[in-house]
Amino acid sequence: MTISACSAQDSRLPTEQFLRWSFDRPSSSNWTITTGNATRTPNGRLRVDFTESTVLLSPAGLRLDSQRYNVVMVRAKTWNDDDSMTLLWQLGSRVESMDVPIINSGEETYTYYFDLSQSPSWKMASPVQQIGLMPTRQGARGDMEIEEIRILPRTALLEASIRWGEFSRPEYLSQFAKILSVGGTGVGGQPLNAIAYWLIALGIAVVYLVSALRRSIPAWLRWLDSRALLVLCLVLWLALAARFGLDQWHTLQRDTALFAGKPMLGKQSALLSGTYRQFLGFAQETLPANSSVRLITNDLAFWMAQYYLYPLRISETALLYLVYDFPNGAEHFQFDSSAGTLVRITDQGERQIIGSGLVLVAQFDANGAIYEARQ
Amino acid sequence: MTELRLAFALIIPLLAGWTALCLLVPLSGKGLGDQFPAHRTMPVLERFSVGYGLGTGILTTTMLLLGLLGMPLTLPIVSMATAGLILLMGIEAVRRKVRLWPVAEPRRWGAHLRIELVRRRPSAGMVLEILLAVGLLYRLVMVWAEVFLRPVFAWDAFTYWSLYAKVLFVEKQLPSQSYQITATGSLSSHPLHVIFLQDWFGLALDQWNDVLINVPFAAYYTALILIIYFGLRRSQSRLFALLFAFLASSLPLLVTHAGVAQGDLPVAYYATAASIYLGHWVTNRRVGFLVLSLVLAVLAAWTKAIGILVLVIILALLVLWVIRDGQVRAWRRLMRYVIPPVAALAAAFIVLRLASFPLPVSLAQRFAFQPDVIELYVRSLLMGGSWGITWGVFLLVTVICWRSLWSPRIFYAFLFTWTGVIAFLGIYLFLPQYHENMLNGTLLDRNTLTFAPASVYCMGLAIAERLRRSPGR
Repeated sequence: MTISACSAQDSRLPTEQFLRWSFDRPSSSNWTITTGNATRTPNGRLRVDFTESTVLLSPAGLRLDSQRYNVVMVRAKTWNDDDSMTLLWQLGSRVESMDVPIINSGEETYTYYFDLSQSPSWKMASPVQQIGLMPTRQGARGDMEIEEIRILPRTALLEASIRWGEFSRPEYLSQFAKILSVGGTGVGGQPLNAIAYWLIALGIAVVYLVSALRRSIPAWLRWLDSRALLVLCLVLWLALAARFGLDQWHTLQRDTALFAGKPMLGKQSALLSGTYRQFLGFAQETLPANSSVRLITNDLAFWMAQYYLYPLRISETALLYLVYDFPNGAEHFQFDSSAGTLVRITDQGERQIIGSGLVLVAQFDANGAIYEARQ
Repeated sequence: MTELRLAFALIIPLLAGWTALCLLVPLSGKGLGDQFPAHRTMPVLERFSVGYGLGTGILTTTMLLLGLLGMPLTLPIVSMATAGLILLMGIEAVRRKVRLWPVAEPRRWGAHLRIELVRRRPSAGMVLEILLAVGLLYRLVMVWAEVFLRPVFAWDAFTYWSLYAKVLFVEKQLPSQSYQITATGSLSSHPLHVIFLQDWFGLALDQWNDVLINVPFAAYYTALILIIYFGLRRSQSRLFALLFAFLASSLPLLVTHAGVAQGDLPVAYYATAASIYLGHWVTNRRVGFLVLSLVLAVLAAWTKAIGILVLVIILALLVLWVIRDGQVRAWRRLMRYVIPPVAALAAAFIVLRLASFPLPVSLAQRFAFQPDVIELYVRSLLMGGSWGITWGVFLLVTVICWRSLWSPRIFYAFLFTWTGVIAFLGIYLFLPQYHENMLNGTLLDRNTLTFAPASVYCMGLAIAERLRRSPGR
């Protein structure tokens, strides 16, 4: 499929200027995707629906001087089941790649930088003819809404902007994992912890040097003793604490958007995808209290169910089957009403019967249903 | 109405804790075996912070006893039983002529305030204090705002802590051992304090509220920070106390657990408070502080199985104190206060056993030495996202402030934290089942959370001491 992108390039400019793409109006510079769907949204963004092997490809024939242009910037909003994005380019007959972590909030647009300045294969690939973007994990699914793509030369200003972006970006990657991580974020590929330890190690070296040369150094340098080292540690620690305060602020913003003003069911549903929470509520209303049920889903959300289902109890031997099929799951379920069998279809296409002699008790929606085994 | 019910849920344990604390560490006058001069006792805010932890312990122990006696765990029964206990403690306080509320002395307070204002001219230190206080307030506001937004979300809460609390709330009695509900944990795998506490909030609110059952954990967080502040304030300047209270409040995993309905933060609270009051005992020799420390350590064991380690370390430090400081003569007197809580704990386990809950930790496990754990453990402490540079600085402070460590208060605080950290390493090194949990990242940071706030407290003591000394010493 071909997507028109509006580039900053004027046809009168040399090809090398062909370095910025936005998707707010049709143009002759075309991006393509190998499989799946891509649409232009009303607010001028490119929405790509990633399926198993989707790659978003730039127009061919870029003829980029990769020695000079060594940063690829992507401004996008993502919500997929992978936590990083890959940039692809070709070096001879080989496809080379680089990954960056992404924030799958699906709500805010973030700027991601592929810093290719240290990549020998990027430098050797000059002139680069085409680049591609895809989720890092093979088979990852989801959407990406791209506002802008640029290829830039690395400058001091850009460097500072990238570093600040890395330092101040929200760390909150996963919907459930609330571990607000100071060490997890980093600058220049180094975790903040590591940078702090390097500075402390430098401080130790200086203090040692000052102590060794105490008699031969000027008096104004002699304050550099172990107490100064402790003060340095405290300053770094405070800086990280302040940085963590920023994480907390991002978290609160995100959680306010997710939960504030919603009734309890709405808050709980915000933790789960699809209509899963509503389905569990439906099962509670439909089945007699204290019934035992067998829960069959294709997602980790299985483990939350026993809490929400109570007083229904989960048992491996129950005759009632609660089946919820998450659309994005790797495997799926199929009910054959004539044979009364429930079949699991694995991601390799294998079919396994997981229940027989079943009848439909209640259908919640296209994804969720309750069956009962008749003995 | 919900607000009033929530206030009631918090006030009952606070009252129970306050009254019990007044018996141990009186506002002034004669405490448990000692005369407490006013300057040796506790400020009101610190009393609330310790009282909350003590009171929740009293409340949940009462609930356990009621459950074992076969009584239904309903709001009237639990409230009346706890109120009865508060009354009994109140009568004992009156009998001992222990005051239960500080007497307001406005004239003195006014004079104190005037002196403070005259003394405290604007300075860089004052600006720093204000900044740190604002930072601390920011942290607390963020934590409480989160708590009132977010429903239960964590794995362990869904599969164990909140799940069983919900079961208890619905069934109004102790679930039997045959009760099979969960795929990942059983009721016997941890002590029941946190489960009873969430149940209590459900009972008081008269509904199972997925958001408000997180409130007790934010209260633990707040109380812990205040205990660290007041613990440091006893021997350090306000600037240092604020600085390290702020740093403790900034431990990422601690903040995370302030809104997670699990046992990790409460056990960290009890461990930290137990070590701080052990330090007060060593310095002041007021038996009330010793008993308080032991009771808090017992409550740590009542909160999570790993709390048994806290109790063992506290007892070991007491033995060390007797040997190191040549306090053998004090030993008999000490034992009068050590034996009761230990015996109570042993009795509690026996009762639990009789109630067909197996012991929380089975020692009959296969031993296997796994040296690859060391690297993982060190990497997780130093480079993981849960602690920032806390443990790295702790290591450095131990080396740099070596000479400051020998004052009794600092010595026992450091020994407590280091023993905890090394004990965990030993557990991971030799017990394969923990090793597996460590490799998959489930347990390690949550276990070290038990000792992380205490490490910040230690550093507060040692760094302040070192910075006070002249260069080169």
